[in-house]
Amino acid sequence: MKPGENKRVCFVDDEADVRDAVAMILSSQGYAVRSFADGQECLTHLEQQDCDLLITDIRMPSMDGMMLLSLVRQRCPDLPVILVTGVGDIPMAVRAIKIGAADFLEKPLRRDELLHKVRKMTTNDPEEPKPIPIIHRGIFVDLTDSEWEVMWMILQGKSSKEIADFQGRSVRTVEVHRAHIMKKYHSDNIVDLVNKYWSSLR
Amino acid sequence: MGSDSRPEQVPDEDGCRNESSSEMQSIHFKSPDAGQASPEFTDPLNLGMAEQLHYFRGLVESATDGLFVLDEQGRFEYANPMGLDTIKWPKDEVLGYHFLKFVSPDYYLQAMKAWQDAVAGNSGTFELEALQGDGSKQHLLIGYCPLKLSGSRKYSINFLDIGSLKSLEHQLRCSQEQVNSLYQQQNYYLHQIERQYYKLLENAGYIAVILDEEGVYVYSNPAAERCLKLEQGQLAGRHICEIMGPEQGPQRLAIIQDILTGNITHFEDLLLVDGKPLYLDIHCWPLPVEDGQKRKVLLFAADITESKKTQEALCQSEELFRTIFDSSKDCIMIWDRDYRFLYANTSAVTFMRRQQSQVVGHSLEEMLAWNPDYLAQWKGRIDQVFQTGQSERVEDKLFYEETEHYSESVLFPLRNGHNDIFAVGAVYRDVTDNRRAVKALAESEHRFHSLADAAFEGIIIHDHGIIVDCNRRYAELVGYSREELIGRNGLNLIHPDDRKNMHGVHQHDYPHPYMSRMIRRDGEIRTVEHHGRPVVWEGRQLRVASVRDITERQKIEQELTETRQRLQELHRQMYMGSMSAFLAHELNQPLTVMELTLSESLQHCDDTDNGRAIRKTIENNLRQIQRATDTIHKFRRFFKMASFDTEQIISIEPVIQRVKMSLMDLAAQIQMDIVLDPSLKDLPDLIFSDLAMEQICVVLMQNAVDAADPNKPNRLVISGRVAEHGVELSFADDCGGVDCGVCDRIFEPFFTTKSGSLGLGLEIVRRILLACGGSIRLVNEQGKGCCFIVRIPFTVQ
Repeated sequence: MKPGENKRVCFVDDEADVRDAVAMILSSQGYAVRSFADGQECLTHLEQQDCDLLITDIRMPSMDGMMLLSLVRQRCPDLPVILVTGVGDIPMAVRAIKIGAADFLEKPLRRDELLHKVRKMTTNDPEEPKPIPIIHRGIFVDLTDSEWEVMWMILQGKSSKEIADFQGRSVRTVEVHRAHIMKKYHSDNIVDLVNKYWSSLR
Repeated sequence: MGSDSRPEQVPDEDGCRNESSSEMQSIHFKSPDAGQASPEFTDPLNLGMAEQLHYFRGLVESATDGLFVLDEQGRFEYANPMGLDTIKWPKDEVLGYHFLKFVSPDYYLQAMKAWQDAVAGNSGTFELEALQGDGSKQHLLIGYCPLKLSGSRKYSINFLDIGSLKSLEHQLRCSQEQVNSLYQQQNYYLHQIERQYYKLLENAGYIAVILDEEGVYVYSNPAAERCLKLEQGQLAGRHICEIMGPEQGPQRLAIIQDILTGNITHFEDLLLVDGKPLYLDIHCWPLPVEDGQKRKVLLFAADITESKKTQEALCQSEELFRTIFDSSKDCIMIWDRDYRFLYANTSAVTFMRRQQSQVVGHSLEEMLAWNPDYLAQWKGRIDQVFQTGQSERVEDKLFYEETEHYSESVLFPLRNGHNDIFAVGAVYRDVTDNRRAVKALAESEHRFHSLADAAFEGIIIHDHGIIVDCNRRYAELVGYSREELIGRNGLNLIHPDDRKNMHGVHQHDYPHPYMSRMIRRDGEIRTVEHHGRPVVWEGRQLRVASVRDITERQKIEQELTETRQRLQELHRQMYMGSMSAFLAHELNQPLTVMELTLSESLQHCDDTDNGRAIRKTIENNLRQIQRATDTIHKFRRFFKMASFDTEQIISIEPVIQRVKMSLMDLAAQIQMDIVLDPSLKDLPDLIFSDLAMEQICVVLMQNAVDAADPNKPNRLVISGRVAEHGVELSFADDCGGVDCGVCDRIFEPFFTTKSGSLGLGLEIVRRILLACGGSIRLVNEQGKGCCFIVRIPFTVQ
């Protein structure tokens, strides 16, 4: 049995080739994929049929992924949404997660990562590791004061240089703190870190 | 005394030599002047001898004349008390001594003659100088007569003290001698004076002539001949009619007769000599007449032609001055010591609202009777000028005719030829209008000063750098007080490096604004902008300059420039970021497709040689995709879109105002009026980014400016309102709007309808707003205009 059996995935992207490629990958794993060229079509579909996962590109001409996310969040509060974004757009990622995005995928999409995240979102697997608690009762866990300060500014969407300028430290120092934070929370990128943070708040 | 006709009897005083007394039977007197014997003495009282003797003795003893009796040898037999007292000899040194003992040797001869005369039986008188007992001498008039006594001849003498008479006689004689001497001296001096007068006349500058009663010149001095253009000696002996001519001569003859009768002593005459007038001032007298000679007159004449001309000129001048005085608008008045008007010009008379006759000769009291205090004041002033002789300048303020009147007067003394002050003059000027004008000027000046002081700019008036005046703002600007600045060289307040330029500006009256650095009192250097121009003030060529402290403005301009540069840099970064995002997106799409399809294909490669070869090829392609992906990542990170500090508390209106300022020049060129609606001021502050807000405004306002038609007036209205969870700004223009066909694409990156534009402006705005949870939308009305509506949340999400 393929992992995607009986799982319905909606994918929204304005590029037909991308839609086809994603649909091919997911379909090969048994997912029932419905692709849409824009958000409005997807919304119309979702009003008529249920769906287990929505994957949408952020950058689209008529209705962008953020708008679609906010509308979907109003209509289907429990539908997990993965946003597909460009490289390192942290402020947008932070905002998206605050709105209610379940996860991020960075372009160009990779097959394994795509399948991993789709499977994670569509499976209630008890083996799936729980999100590491970053905040417990409002206090950052296992972070030094300096790391806490850096973490807080990361969550504001600040770059390492901006954090260094703000705190009067060298970029190198900020980068070291940032690496420690990533290591402590098993994240390999900022999007994942932000995602874990917001997940811990839920 | 003893020489008169009074009978005398010489008694024996003390019985000594009384035999003479007893021998005195009768007394015979002879008048001294007659020199004849006296008549017989009779006893008129019918007394007895004893009684007679006693009677005569009493008479002699009490006589006030000195009486002596000499015997035949000339020795004194008797002397009465007065006689002894007069000659100041004691009795015992007199009686029995010869009379010559008591006579000054100079008078022996006279005394002996008289003695002989008396011995001859005659009486008489003579003068002698007696030697007195105290050693002094005394002149005495002696009378003598023989006494016919029984048996013997006696001689009586009496004397009169004529010392005083002699002295008077001596003085008279001396006086006569002095008179004679003086008379001689007088004659001498008269002669000398006559000579000197003659010389004077001969050399005198004035004319001297003597004419006889018939009009013939007896004498004339050279001056007379010179005046009449005659040669020396040609005048004497000629008749006045010959000299004066038949017309003038007879008149002068009549005058001579008047002089002779004393009717004329002084007159002025006008002669025509060679056709030219000759004015003479003539003093004349009749000369003493000597027997048998004709009566003569003496005339002294001074040529007063010049003084006459001067006098005429003076009269003309006086008339001129009178005319000037009368035509003067100032009141000119002259008073004597009794405050009586000696003169008042027309203006003064008019001012007093009287006739000339009602003023001149009348007292100041009549004119100022209506104001006793003012009258007293003026009388005091006149008195003071009379006393001090000094001019005095006074000012008055009077209230009449329901208004205040101001006047200025100068009082001055008027002196006669002896330098005595005979009157006081005054020039009175009603300066009410002047005062009002001055007051108005002062008020105007005050207003100007107030205005100047209220000015935001420093204002300075200077004379080649020397400060003549300045306003308060300038004083504040340089840190000195106005009083400290006036008179100071303003160039010293200029930075040394700028002084040369400033000097050049002053030299060439540079008309345009120029900048310099100014050193404040506390040493702070401020940048100022001068704008000066020349002015003429009280005949002086000065320069007035406004001085504006542009330090803050420069600072703001500098900040604005830096902000613009920062914005441009940001813009550039955003362009690049936007471009990189676009490129990344555009590349990621095919890479995604390739990555996914190749990855999926890899799943289907079997373990055959062919399958392994395909796998190898696919894996190689996937590595290239990864490489491309890494490149895109690096590229994207490098050009990552700048982020803003979105935690500032910003006020929207000042940001828009700032952007408007930066576009003003451009807007003016295309006749665009950028209007900021008052509603902007009511908008609440936002937690947002100042730079982001500015970036949004720059893009949207620049778009309107770019869309404007420079051939017609354009308008951009920016307004705002509070919307749900945020603020909504509206940028509405009337620049024709957007073509409906491209309306949907204007937010696409690299889409543009303008040449030379990248088409990223709206993309940037969109991304900024997207990042902060805001939004932008377009309300388009093709052909009319468009309106971009921007929504910004109260807090950045």
